[in-house]
Amino acid sequence: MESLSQLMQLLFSGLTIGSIYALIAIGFVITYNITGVLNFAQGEFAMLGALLTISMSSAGLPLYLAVIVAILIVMMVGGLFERAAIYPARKSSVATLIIITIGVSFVFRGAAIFIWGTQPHSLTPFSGNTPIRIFEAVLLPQSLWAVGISLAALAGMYYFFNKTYTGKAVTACVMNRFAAQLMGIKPEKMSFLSISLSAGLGALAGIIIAPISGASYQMGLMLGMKAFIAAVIGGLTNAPAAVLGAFLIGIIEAFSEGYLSSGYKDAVSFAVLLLVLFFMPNGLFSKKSGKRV
Amino acid sequence: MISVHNLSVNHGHLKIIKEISFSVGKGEIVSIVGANGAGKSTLLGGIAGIYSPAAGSIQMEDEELAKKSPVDIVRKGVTLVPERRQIFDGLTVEDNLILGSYHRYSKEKKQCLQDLEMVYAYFPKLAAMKSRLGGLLSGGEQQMLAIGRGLMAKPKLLMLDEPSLGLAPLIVREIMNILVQLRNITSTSILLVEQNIKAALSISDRGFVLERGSIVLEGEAKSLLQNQSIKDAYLGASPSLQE
Ligand SMILES: Nc1ncnc2c1ncn2[C@@H]1O[C@H](COP(=O)(O)OP(=O)(O)OP(=O)(O)O)[C@@H](O)[C@H]1O
Ligand SMILES: [Mg+2]
Repeated sequence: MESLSQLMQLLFSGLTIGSIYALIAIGFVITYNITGVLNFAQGEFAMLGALLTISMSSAGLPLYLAVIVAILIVMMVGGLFERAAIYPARKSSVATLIIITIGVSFVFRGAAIFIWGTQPHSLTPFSGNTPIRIFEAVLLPQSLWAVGISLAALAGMYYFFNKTYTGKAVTACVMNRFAAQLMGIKPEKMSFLSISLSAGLGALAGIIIAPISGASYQMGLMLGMKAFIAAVIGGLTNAPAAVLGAFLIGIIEAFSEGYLSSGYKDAVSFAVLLLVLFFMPNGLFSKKSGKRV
Repeated sequence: MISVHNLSVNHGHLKIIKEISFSVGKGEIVSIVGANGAGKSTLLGGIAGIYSPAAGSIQMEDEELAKKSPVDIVRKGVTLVPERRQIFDGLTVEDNLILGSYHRYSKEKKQCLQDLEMVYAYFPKLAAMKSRLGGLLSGGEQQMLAIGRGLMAKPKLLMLDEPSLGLAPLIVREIMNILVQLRNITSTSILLVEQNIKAALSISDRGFVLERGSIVLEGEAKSLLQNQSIKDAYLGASPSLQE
């Protein structure tokens, strides 16, 4: 019984962290599909979202309002990032664009140290801290929030890209940029829209993980890397596959933390990344190929 | 309707289109024919704003279109149905069509949905496969979809780049008939680029022959069809290959 409850416990914490990675990974995929850019600043949006929410909520704003305002601000930051850093360099080589995004991530981290310092900050959980017992496992309410909000956001993304007119236009632009232009769709506008959206998803991820693991200027780096691994596992262009990859990484991490040692979890994730890159460079689910947002 | 004057289009430093002038009147069907690499697609791309013209002007109803962006050109009523169809493989037939009206959709959604029904009336086959993915259609169906998508932009001038490419003669005839019908009913002007000279000229009012970026011959479509040098160069040698 002891081992079963530990198993459930690890599974839940894997799903929790996996759902966070999923939100950031989707941002990676959306950005990559539209702009061809691997945005290594993606994790920083999570950091900004978390720290902004903490500041505004400690300044007295109700939590829900702080969350919404923080997401909107980060979406604007994302849009600004696209206009100032990605758009002017859109004709540069892939390597140049990657270096730009890495440079921008340093800028974000530096700004965060300047504003929030190097100390970790904490955010109160959305609905208390009384643990819930499910299947012998002890669950914090925040984990349920994390999984629930992530799944809702993912469903929202699915709806946006597949059911709304603007979402379909973005999808069309990914499928055939040339034809989309002939119809009057502006790829630059779609790329602005997508990067803001990705930034908003990243902010949301940072905000829901903050009550669990705290927030600091450097949290974006690891979150971004893990989400990147998830996106690569999914083949980089396939959003649903990236979500699966994210949950896979989350669960693998939780188990290696629980059964090996917490020091190993990052190493295990990177080992998975290398294995995928060596043996299945198009992602674990590459059979279902075809670019979709 | 539209008049092109001394238009030049380059690819890099290569002059591909060299000071071409021609016009298309309202409700007129004009063909541009020529061999592979003559510059037909480059010319249409230049008019549609995909390639920025190096020199010359494109006048449409007293407005200059040269150097405008593809979006502005679509808004002014010039739509290109591109070479090799270029439909959105992973979107349904209906989504492909409705996205064709992107430049006006937010302003006149109702009208766009009505126009969708009009396109289905021109292409009943498409109506029967609304929710099928574009990539799963046959070549002929994809071409109809590409034309239908172009019509959804509500063009005053519809430009088509080799709509007969890779299609069986029967389907080619069907498509050409629909173009004539479209012109007769809506007075849309049509600029048709083709290698299938017979099919193109047989529905056209006038035609041009393009060779290495210049117009080498022009005239009434009927007389071009009878022209000896065209017969020799394009129609004579192997009639079985030319439709
Ligand atoms: N994007 C491009 N960059 C550089 N050169 C190009 C480009 N597109 C076309 N060309 C060149 O321009 C010339 C004309 O090409 P274009 O595609 O306009 O010919 P076309 O008449 O449409 O031929 P086809 O019948 O094969 O479609 C060719 O020599 C081609 O190699
Ligand atoms: Mg061509």
